[in-house]
Amino acid sequence: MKTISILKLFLFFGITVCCAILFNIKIADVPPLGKFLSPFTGFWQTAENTNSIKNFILINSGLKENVNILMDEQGIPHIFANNEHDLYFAQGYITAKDRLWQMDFQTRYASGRLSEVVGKKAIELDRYQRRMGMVFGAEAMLKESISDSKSRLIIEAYSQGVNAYIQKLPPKDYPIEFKILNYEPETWTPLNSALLLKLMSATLARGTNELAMSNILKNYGNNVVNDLFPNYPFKEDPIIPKGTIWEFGQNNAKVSIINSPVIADIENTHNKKNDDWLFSSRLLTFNKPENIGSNNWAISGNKSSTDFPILANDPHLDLTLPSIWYQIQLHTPNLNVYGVSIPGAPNVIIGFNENIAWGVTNVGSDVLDWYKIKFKDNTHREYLFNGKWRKTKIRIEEIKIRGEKSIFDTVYYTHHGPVSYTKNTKPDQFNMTNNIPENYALKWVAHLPSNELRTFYELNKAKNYNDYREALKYFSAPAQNFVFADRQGDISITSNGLFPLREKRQGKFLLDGNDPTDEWHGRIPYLENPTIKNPTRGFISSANQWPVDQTYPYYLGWEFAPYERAHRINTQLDSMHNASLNSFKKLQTDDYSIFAENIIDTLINSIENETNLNELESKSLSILKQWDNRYRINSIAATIFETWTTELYNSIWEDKFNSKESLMRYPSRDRTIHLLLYEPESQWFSSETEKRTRNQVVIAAFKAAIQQLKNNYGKQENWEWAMVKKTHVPHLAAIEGFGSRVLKVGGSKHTVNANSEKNGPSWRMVVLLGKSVKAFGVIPGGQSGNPGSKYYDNQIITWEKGELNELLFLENDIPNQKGIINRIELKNNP
Amino acid sequence: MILFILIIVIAFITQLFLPWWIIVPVVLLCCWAKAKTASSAFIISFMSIFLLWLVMSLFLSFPNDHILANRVGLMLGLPEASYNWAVVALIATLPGALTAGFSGVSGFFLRKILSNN
Repeated sequence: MKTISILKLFLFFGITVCCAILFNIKIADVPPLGKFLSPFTGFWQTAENTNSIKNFILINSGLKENVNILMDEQGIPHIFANNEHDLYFAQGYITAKDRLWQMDFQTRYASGRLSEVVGKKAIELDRYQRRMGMVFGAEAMLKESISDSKSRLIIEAYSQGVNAYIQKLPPKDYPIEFKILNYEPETWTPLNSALLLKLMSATLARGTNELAMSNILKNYGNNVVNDLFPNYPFKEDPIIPKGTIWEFGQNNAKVSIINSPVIADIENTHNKKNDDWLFSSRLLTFNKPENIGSNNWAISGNKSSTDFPILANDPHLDLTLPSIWYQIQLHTPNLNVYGVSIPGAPNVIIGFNENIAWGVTNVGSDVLDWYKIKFKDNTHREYLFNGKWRKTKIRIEEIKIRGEKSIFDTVYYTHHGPVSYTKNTKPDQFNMTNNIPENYALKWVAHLPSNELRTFYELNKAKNYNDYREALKYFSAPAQNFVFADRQGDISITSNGLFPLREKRQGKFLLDGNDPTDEWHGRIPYLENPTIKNPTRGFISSANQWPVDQTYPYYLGWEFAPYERAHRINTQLDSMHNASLNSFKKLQTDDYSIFAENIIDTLINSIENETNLNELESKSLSILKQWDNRYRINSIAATIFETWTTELYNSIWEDKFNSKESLMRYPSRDRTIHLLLYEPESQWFSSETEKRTRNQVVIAAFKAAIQQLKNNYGKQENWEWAMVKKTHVPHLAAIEGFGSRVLKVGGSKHTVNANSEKNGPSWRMVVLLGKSVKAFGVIPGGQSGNPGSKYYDNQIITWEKGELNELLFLENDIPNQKGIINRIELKNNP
Repeated sequence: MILFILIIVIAFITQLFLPWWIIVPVVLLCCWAKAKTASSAFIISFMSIFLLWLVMSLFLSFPNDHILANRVGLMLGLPEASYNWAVVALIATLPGALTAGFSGVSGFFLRKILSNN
């Protein structure tokens, strides 16, 4: 009897222990269920009370004096500090309080340390980030930044503030994603802030077409490259208006480099070397993605209803929750600035103060090159440069993997930069490496020492045009079009960053790492970067298009975002008089398509005489004929046009530039439009087996598009544009349920209100300068990174409607003023 | 009933400071002291933690307007519905309640062995 009881005890106690253990560990992607579901330690603890928000006090010895943080109705902090150290300490503290997991995860993503928390599925991603030199670049940046005492103070105080928050954080209060992935936050370092700035370069300035272009050159020759991939588009509306005179260039010694004869025939150069592996790559093809579209502009006082300049900016990125930007006001006796910051990095990146406002869009200049490396042998210890053997530097990357042994990866660095993938080391199933050639060294502007922190610090406290110009000289990467306006009435825009000084052919194709003439020849002098102040037309703008016309004396690249958004903005601004907040709001959400305007008549005429249309096709055609070229939320014509032109684009180029053997890319939209409008008999419409004319291709594409829409969406009333496009904001780690619903927004990739499925304006801002500045803004999300907070996505509805919130720009820290709902005090502990 | 209340009170207090699995020794000791049969030990232990976790979860979820619980519902693969929070709250009790149930039975057999002496 007793033996049976003992057996039963063992049995049940065994089951109990098994349950306790199983529910306390993470198995595959399932969080530890006991720990995660317990209301005492698990996710319930992160469910914020939606009504009561507590004031609280933190005492920390890292502060010099007391700091007051006032929180407004949107959950936005307004920090009042007496000195700069305390200001950036508080910025770090409050940002960590709202966004700790996002900061941790993005730093891990940038530095190739995701495997530490998600296990071996992230190994190739981690390896890629290391091999692209992300940490190498961040270290160079940090070294340069901390040699500047101002930047050092800022970045170190910020880290201290983040750590002050982490140290006091009990596990039950960890953000929910830490609980789902079952890991702990770690100590924050200044390198992390540098990594997040490098991540911006990776997002905006790491695109590379060199391999694809070299393959096209090899497969089709020089004439086709010149014909289909020209160095300037046929339609352009540059940032610096056409015809602007460049007052430098001809007498500058550095310019002579670009005037020297361009090396005539790259193909021959390569053939001469007789390298059979030069173009070999184990690659899949990809379609060139449409450029993500940011806009900014400003008008001078004589065009505005306020008599002062008005400035607008909407930077576009891949949208995520937690939101990409963190709104904040920073105040000391010498500084008062409001705007958006990068969670994990100090300062305001886009914003305004009493005197000035500024904003940015990306400059799609070519700042990345690949240099072919000839190694002496398989040890990769030496490589050929200028006919002599040079030693490589070796960097050993330890990739820690959760639950498994670390792997060690060796990366060889030449004086150009890291050889990202030596021969036969590229992974087969990892498409981020598709466009990377093997045995090539990466030369990338984001690897160079830089001090962007200082730019933002100086902009944050700038008072006028001269301060703005002074601030910009510190900025290297990712190059941005900095739009500027101040209350004295000046407006200006500068395409700013470190642009390598190169010959015109350089950068379009792969380069020779042995040849010193293929090197970058320094940089374009900062003062000669494209810039303009108070142009006669009374406004400035940018939308990622070409910064300059073809008279600019330096080479910036050969391809920028298409001109359509910029052209629409410029024609609208040109016709504006007495412009107000509403005119700017309307323009930011403008869904009119210049692309459609340029091409729809030609397309419809091509199909007009086709008699063989079925009922649905005829109906669709008549809908298109009545279209106003606007990508409205409920427009069916927009869906038909978009599907048709996408199908058309693919059907023209797919059989020519999509090959399993060698990675290539399609010609630009600009070139395709020219082909459609002016070259109806071009051989490019034909396929290998069949002679086709433009009209035949256009009709076939139309029929295919209608069939595709019918198959995917059924009845025509389901073809409404917003429902087909499905714009939504997913969670950063794609956790189901933590993203947004599908949002009803108009616009397309090439309208001013540029957006697609997961991409769109990450911040919309309008600033009305004047005796007292007024500003408006919205982010597609909210201030909090906590999915259990009402501030996680409370601004999404406003964003979806195209509305803006008035931004609360405080002058003092009186606690009970209008719009303020609670107060956090950081007290120094002497 | 005494056993039921005893478990709830001790489990509540200890879980405020200690990991969730502290309910294993708590339930074990309580059932060692008070349990009458194996099945009642299981039911009482299961129900006490079930109730404690459910009430505590709802206590946190109502002031949150169930924003988080509804999101976690979607994460767990529930179809979109406004009452997901209730389903989540019920499911969420299971790891704790099951572990407690088995621990309770273990406690009962421990009592049986030791009392035979």
